[in-house]
Amino acid sequence: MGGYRCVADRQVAKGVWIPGKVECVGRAGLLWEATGVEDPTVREKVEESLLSSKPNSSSAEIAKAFRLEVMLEDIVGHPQRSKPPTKPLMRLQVQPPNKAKSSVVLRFVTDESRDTIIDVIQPLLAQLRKGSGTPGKGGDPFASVSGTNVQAKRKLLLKNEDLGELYKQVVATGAVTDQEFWVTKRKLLEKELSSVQQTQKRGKSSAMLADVELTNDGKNFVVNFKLTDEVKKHIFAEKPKVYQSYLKNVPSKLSEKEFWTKYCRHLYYQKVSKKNKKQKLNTGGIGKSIEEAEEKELMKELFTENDGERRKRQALKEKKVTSVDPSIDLTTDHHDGFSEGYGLRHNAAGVIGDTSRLKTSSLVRDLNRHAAVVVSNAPETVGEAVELAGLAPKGKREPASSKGRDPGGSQNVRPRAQASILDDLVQARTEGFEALDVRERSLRTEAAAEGSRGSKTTEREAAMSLLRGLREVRVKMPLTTSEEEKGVLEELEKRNRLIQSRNSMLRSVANGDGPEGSDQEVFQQVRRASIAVNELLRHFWASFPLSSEHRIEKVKRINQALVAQYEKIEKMRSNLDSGTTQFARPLIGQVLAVCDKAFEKYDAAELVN
Amino acid sequence: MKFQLEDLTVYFPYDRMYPEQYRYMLELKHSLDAKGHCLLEMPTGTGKTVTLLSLITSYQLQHPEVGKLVYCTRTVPEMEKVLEELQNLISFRERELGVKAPILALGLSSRKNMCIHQSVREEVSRESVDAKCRKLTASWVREKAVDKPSDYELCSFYEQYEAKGAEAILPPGVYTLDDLKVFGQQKGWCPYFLARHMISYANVIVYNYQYMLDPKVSSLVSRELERECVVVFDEAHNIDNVCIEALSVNLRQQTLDNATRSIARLKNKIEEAKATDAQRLSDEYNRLVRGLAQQGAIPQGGEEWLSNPALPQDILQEAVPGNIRRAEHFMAFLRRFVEHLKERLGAQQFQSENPTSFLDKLRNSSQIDSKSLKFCYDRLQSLMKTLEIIDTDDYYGLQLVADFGTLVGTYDRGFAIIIEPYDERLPSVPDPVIQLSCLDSSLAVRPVFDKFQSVVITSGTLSPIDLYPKILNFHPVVIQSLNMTLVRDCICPVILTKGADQMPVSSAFEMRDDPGVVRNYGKLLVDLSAVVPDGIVCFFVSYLYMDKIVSQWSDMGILRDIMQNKLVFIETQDVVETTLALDNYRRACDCGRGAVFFSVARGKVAEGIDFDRHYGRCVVMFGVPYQYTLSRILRARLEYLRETHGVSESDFLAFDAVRQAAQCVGRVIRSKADYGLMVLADRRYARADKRDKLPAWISQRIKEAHMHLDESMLLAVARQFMRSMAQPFDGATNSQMLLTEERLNSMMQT
Repeated sequence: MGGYRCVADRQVAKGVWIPGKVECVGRAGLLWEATGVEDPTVREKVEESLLSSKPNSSSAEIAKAFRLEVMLEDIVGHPQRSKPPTKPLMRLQVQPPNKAKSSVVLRFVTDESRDTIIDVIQPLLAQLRKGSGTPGKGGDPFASVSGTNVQAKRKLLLKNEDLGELYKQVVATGAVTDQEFWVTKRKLLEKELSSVQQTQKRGKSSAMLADVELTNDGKNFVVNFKLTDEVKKHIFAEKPKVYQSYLKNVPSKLSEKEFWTKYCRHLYYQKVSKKNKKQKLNTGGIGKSIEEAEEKELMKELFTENDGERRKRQALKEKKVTSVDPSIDLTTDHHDGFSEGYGLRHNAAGVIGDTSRLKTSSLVRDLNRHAAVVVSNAPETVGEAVELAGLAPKGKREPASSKGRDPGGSQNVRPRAQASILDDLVQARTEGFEALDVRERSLRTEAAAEGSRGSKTTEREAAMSLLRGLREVRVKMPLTTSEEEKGVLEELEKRNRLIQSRNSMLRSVANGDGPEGSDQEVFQQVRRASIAVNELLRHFWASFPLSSEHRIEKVKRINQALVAQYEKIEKMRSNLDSGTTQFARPLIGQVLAVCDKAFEKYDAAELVN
Repeated sequence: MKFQLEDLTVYFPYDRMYPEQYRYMLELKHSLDAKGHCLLEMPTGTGKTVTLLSLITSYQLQHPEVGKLVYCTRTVPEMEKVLEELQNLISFRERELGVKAPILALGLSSRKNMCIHQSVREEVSRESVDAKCRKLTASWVREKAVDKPSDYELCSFYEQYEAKGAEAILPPGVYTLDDLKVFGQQKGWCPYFLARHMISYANVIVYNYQYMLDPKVSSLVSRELERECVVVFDEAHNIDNVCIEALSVNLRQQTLDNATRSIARLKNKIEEAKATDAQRLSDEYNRLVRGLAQQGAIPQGGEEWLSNPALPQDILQEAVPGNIRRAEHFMAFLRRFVEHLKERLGAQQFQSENPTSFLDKLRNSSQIDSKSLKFCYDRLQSLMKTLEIIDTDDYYGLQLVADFGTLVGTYDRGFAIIIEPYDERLPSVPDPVIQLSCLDSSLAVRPVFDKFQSVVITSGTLSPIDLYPKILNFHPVVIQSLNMTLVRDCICPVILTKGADQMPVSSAFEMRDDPGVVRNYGKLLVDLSAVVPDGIVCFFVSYLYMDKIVSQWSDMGILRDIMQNKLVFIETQDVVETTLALDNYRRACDCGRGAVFFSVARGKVAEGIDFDRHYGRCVVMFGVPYQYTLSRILRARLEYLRETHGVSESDFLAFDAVRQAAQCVGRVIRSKADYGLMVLADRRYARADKRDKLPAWISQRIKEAHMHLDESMLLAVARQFMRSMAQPFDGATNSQMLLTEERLNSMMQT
């Protein structure tokens, strides 16, 4: 039984973590096992720490600490996640029957692995609690789903009934392995994945990570900086200048740590100087302040943009503005108003002319920038920084600055303004759209059957008229004999009847209301069997030529499964009662025929080998 | 649908229509029939624009004697939206009628927005684009380029357009600015001059207010429009302010410095011209002696300038006085004038006086009389064209001074000269300025009412509606304020008077610095951001107030708390930054993360940007957006209003503040399927004198229970409102209220 598996440490007591890995075993729940404890010294150490935190634990309890099974039924509530700044943790409340409630805390390496586990568990939990999804079949029919994207595959199987059925028939019986099954269903899976990932992608945190908290204990400012990789990435995205100097100076001039220390000091100075201004504080002697001033200058050079860079960025911004929806583009409006000098300057009916001198102007800029980075949620801003730093590879930069472009070119990408549409004034359009109908699938089959019947009649009519035509010219040049005509017509008649009966049968199968109650079962069986056989055959034929050991092995396996299916169908055929035979026989015949072909091929291949 | 409105066949691009749209059309039609002006208020979110366009274009179709539709919008984004709606309408009409009724509609904007010349359009400011364009298209440059093509650069788009002459014509259709640019690109013609030219052929013109109201621009652009035109001012609640701005000039230190430099440069040019081509100057002199001031220069091609700042009927049709006919005399005259202005600007205290006393002082100190001053503009323009000056943006200071002089010389009533060493709202920032402020909003709009037979003034917020005819001094044949029919209460205006701690909240001057109020406002926003889905828009009364609040919120950790729920975007004066912030705000709302947008009443965003649907589920107006009441300009205007129109000061101030607030909160609703919570967070809104100035469609929907809310009650209301509104929109009940084609036609028959 395979499932999603990843590395996760488990907390057994406060501050005691045992390294291990966790595996999701489908409906059975979660299985966690300690890793690396085969080494007795390691084990001893862990046991020791365990004992020190829980002095009176028995040896059985200690043994238990290295392996933990969580039954799905025992989980209370939902799995809880930790918030981003802390490590990716998951907490499960567990309450086995007749036992006290306890909690299991697992620590993962990445957010993704934690989230995947939760994504696997949660729907299972929901299903379990709903009670409906568990017909007493004794275990999860899809438990063998493994590999990557377990969740998506599982979802797909549950969603697509036919596929689920097929999976049960071909994989659960061992004819085709799970992997082989998914190789052929890659397209479906990709589609499923793309829809899943859109909803599941984790965005950036809205919090301003680059902001620093200061605490003042009365004597000193105590400053705590916690820089995780995520924070660093965020800082880079928000402050292209910092990224630029990072690329320039690390590791050639400064080490990673030095660089970030400098950056944090820079932030600290900024904050303190703001505070000092407010409180009119003047700390330190002259010598210190000179030193400090020097340092500040240096940092300024490193972390704040100079005029040139600011201009460059402004130009970049202006370029971006040209692709904004015209209905929110204020720049065009700015260029259409009164020119400087006309109108009133200190106008109380307007806003003040210049906000750059306001206290919060830099804070406002930072806020807008931060929010923009969060929204874009893409490393494009890093690209921008690279472009600013002039470090972009030449080939890439070329198209942006190519001179041959037509001057109106950039205008073409601009979207049109949206006219405000009063949608409640528009009558709901019905033509051209199909009304949503839950019986859609069966209807479609019926309609298709209807259509095919129609086309057959016309085919027949065409043949008749052709024959009539031929008959007319027969006098001069006898092309056909009446026997031949009869033969052709009969052939056609037979085909028509066959098709009609098949169609009506298919329709009734699809509709779920067969001719009689007992027959329905038969039709379903035939249908399932033929789907399974088709899948098997697909794998069978895909394995030729038998170029590798693996393929030969596979062909043998599938052949066995086919034989089993063949026998099953044969049995089914002999069990058919007279009522259903005439409908079911042609179908079964076809299925068996294709199987026969496969056997022939198999026998031929065996001879060669 | 297509239906009969009295004797008029109306083409309306939707299958059904709101009853108020029908009434609006009826009122509008009556005023068109009566060939008179009208004043119409209709709530936002009821499809005002499409109603207007639909009726007037249908009217044009049936009554070809009616002229163009000139649709004035407040901002360019609005202009684009109007053109898009017109596009919808026209394509519907074409489906109905075939192409029997072709229509040409176009938008017009400044060169900066329309230019497709590669290097010119990349100039930063609008003035430099204009100047650079003139450099390439002025008639004398083009003449010289014929002889020496290598020495002079020309604009290929303008040349190709000129070469086509009368054949350069836009095929019928609806053209937004971008469409015009694309068309120009394809043909190789200059879109700006093409559009200017096509105005006389167009059926519908959409442009900014100032192209109609500002005499400097309108006499260039709108002079040739015929009397039968229908002029529409949409979103006209602020029209009085635009009128005032159109006739006002301000002079700053750098303006005057620039003027001094320009005078020196002009002197050199005059000397040069005397040495090389004295004939030209004497020709000009002779023209000025013989004829009218305006004939000093021969109008031609692309060098045209802003025209005379005074209104057309006030421009003296006389010859230029003798003392400024000679170029060097005129220079000396200007120098004395600028020196005097510099002296006045150096004043350390505020001064406010009327034009007569200003002219008195001027005569005493510099011997400049008002008569010559009146000709300042014409004389300068004539001189600059004679000297063939193309880098006009270098002379902007002198132009402003000349405009200032002309206006001061022309008007002795309705204007005030106000000299301030700094903006009183920002006393720490020195910014000395001489402002010639127009006090009478009816002055600039007067020629429009006189010239055109139907002027339509409309907006969602024109309450109290009887005030507008007073301050604009006109007599509409139709005044109507329409209400809104709603199937569900999709707007929920509430008044918050107390914060979480039960203390009153207000942006009133005496409470402004109270940290308790700031905290209460912050707490309100934090809690709302947890309750309201998608977008929230906040309006503050001014930048200064927003600055104060944002910095305190930052210190109190309130911003951090808000950011746990939603992202924060803030409007600034930098239009580029604000545009990007808006774009990102929309994206944040689109992706479901939700965001808060901080904006300022009277700012750009409040005037022209819609926060419809999920872009604005809630709008919070922090405080009452009063003007800065101590402002000298405002004082002067209030005095003038009281004296001439009998409008009391406090009434006008309250009216002005409430219309801004109503405008801000009205931003969230753009159709009836839309919904939004409107929070007026100030205890003063609960008073009757504020409430009765709100437009009826808002004030009638404030429930009795929602007039004095504290924070926790407000949150309960918000939760309830959001939950009930988020239910699927019941189209069936809604459609019972709508008028269908059959119902409309049967209404007509009975």
